[in-house]
Amino acid sequence: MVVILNILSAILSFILAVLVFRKNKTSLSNISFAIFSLTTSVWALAFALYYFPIIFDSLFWIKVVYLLVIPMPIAMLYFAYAFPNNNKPRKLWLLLYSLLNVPIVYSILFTNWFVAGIIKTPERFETSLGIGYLLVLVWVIFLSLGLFRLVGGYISSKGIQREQFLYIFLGLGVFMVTSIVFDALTPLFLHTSRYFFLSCISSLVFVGLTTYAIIKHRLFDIRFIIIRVLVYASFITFLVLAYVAIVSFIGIFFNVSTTSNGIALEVLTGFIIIVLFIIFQRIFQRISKKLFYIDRYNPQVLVAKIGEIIASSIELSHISEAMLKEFLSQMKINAGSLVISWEGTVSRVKQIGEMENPSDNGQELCKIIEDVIKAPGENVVVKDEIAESGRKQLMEKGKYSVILPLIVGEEAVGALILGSKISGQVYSTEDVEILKILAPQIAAAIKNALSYDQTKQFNLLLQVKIENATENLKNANDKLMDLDKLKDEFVSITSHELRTPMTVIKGYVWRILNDKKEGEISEKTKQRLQVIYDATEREIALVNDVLNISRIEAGTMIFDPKVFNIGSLAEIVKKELSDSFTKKKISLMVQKTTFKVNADEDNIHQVFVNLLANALKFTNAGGKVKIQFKKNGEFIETAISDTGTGIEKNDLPKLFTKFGRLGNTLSPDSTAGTGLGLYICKKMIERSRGNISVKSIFGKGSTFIFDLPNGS
Amino acid sequence: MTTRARGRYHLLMDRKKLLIVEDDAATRALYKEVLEEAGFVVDAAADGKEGLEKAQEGGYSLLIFDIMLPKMDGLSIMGELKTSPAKKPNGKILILTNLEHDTVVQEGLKLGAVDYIVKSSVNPGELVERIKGYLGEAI
Repeated sequence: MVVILNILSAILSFILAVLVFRKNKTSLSNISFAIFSLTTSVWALAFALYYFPIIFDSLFWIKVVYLLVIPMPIAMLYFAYAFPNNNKPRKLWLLLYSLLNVPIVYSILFTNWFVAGIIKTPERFETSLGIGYLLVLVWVIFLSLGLFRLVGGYISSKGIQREQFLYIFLGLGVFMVTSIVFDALTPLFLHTSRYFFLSCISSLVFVGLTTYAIIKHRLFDIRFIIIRVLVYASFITFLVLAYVAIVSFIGIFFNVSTTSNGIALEVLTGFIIIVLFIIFQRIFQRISKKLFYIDRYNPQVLVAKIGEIIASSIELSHISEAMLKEFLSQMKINAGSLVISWEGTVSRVKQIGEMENPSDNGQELCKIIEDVIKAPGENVVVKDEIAESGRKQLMEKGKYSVILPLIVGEEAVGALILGSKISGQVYSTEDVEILKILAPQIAAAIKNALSYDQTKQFNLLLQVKIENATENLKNANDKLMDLDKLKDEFVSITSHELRTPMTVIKGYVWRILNDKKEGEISEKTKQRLQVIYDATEREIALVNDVLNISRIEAGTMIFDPKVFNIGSLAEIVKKELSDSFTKKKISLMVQKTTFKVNADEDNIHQVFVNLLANALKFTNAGGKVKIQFKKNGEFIETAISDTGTGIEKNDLPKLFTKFGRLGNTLSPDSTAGTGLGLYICKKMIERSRGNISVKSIFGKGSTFIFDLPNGS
Repeated sequence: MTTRARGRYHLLMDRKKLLIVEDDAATRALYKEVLEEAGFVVDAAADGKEGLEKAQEGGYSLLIFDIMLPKMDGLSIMGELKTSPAKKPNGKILILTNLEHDTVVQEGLKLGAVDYIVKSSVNPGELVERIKGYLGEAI
């Protein structure tokens, strides 16, 4: 039984040694552990041969055991110092040990001074010791030194390393203390080697605890390979057991005493095993996959996917959601959250799965991010790797396993928080490395998205502001329009009210001037009354002009276009004004025409009145005014020409402007106009989609031409 | 001169009856005076209500309405006359106002007024001539 355990221990330590060495061939801690483990393996094998001697006798093999045991403290000390940061132990101690122990023991090992002989009793072997055996005490001291060093490592480390130290210390401790007690001290002081087998068992404890630390606490980062080895080992064990079972099963029921039967049985069993292998390999794979490889994912695929997500969108919510989903599904994590930091607090952008909000408003989270900015090396915070602290409590409370601070340059962006793995496993170094690689990319993407978001927000704000401003403007405009309407009403009413008394004045003055019954009035009085009459007329004209302009500009003037004979309208106006023309001895000639225009008749009536009044005003007695018509394409042209004073070239441009009274062209009768008449004409004609222009030779007369849409 | 002659002529004949509704006393007096001088029988009313009552009695050759009137405006009078016609038929309706380029004037024309005259634009002589024109008398 002890032999089997020894062989098992030898195999397992050998595998451990190979795997740890393969993982990192340059790391001192890996090398030293591998050497220690390899030594243990060979030591266990030698022990097995001590119990079950082959080639040489037990005495020889026990000497081989000591041969291997003696250098063990060197490897262990190396490892105790080198783990995990590859520190070197003090050379003095090693030198001391090497000088004190190794050469002396080695030189006396194969003499009787160290182990004198083996006494075989029916139950067990007993070694008889020589005087040199006392040297194992040095061995004990150095092993204790190694263990002491591991305890120191355990105390000074934190997080996951502390766990690793713990299991290494426990494993090595059990192994070494057992060895010290039962391999060194018991034979020395109690003179019995009957408990040698306990150190063999304790070597299994060492292998077991180390393996546990590898799987559970990422020791040496060879978790997956160890798991695979375990799976295959159990598979092979299963097959071996199956083989043994089949052989014994058949052996019971059939006579297999003859060699030929034996061969047939072997072949048959081999065949069955092959079949079983094919069937069970798949099942084993599936089970092992389910049990152990649940966390496996392809880092390249994850990195590529995250890159894709980052490139595919600039929307913060979209990026965060897609990214979290990818992390959760690839790394098989139960929850994840993305937060952005802002002036000492954080706000969550997106969360998938169950996870608490930081209770302190994210102050600790912000501190974590700040710390990473200060010390850029430590850019992933893994719950299992940090010491008990407020930070760890925060992570435990919030169910955070990993906090990945997101930083661009020296600016905190936020953090990616990940929950625990669905399998319950811890985050591997590989996971952490991938997160480290991805962090800057994610940070940059989030920052861009945030900037974009801000721009969008700003746009939105701007839009709201514009809308408000527009609303204000609209209100102001409405108010102005109301005011304008009020003004228009005011002008309308005022002009109406102004007209009434003026009509009375005009009417009565006219009556006096024209009523013979009133008795003769002197020529002088008549002249004075005429002045009053003319002034009233001017006043009325002014009121009319002001009213018209107010309406034109407010857009409230009626526009009622219809087709009418332009000549007939001119005749009507002629009739209305005939008195004035006759009085001033100016002839007014209207050309007969059948042309019809499409325009607002009231407006054009006003235009005729205004233009003819102007002609009358600026033409001397005996002058001529003519109204002529002409077809010009789609338009009917009306020309009103006079033989008046004409207009100076300089004055032509301002002729049709508001209050565009002309400085140098005072009318012969010095009657000042309002300066509104021609402006009104222009506006009224334009309303009927026509144009007005003027041609004039100063001193000879003017011709006002307006065209209106042809109505026939 | 001719005006007076025609006035006398009409005096002998069946003189035409006119109704003038005008709120401004001076204007009303002036128009009444010149129109009577021109040979018409002139009834005058100072507000819309009175104007309507008189118009509903009927028998006028021409109804002359101002638009802006106390109690009832000129357009309402025209509307009332449409719904409840006068006892004796009336002649044409003329709007005599100081409003111009105004929708109400257009409305008045739509309600059946033969024309509108802006008071300030005519002197009494011109007014009489225009009224005679509407009554189909040679000027």
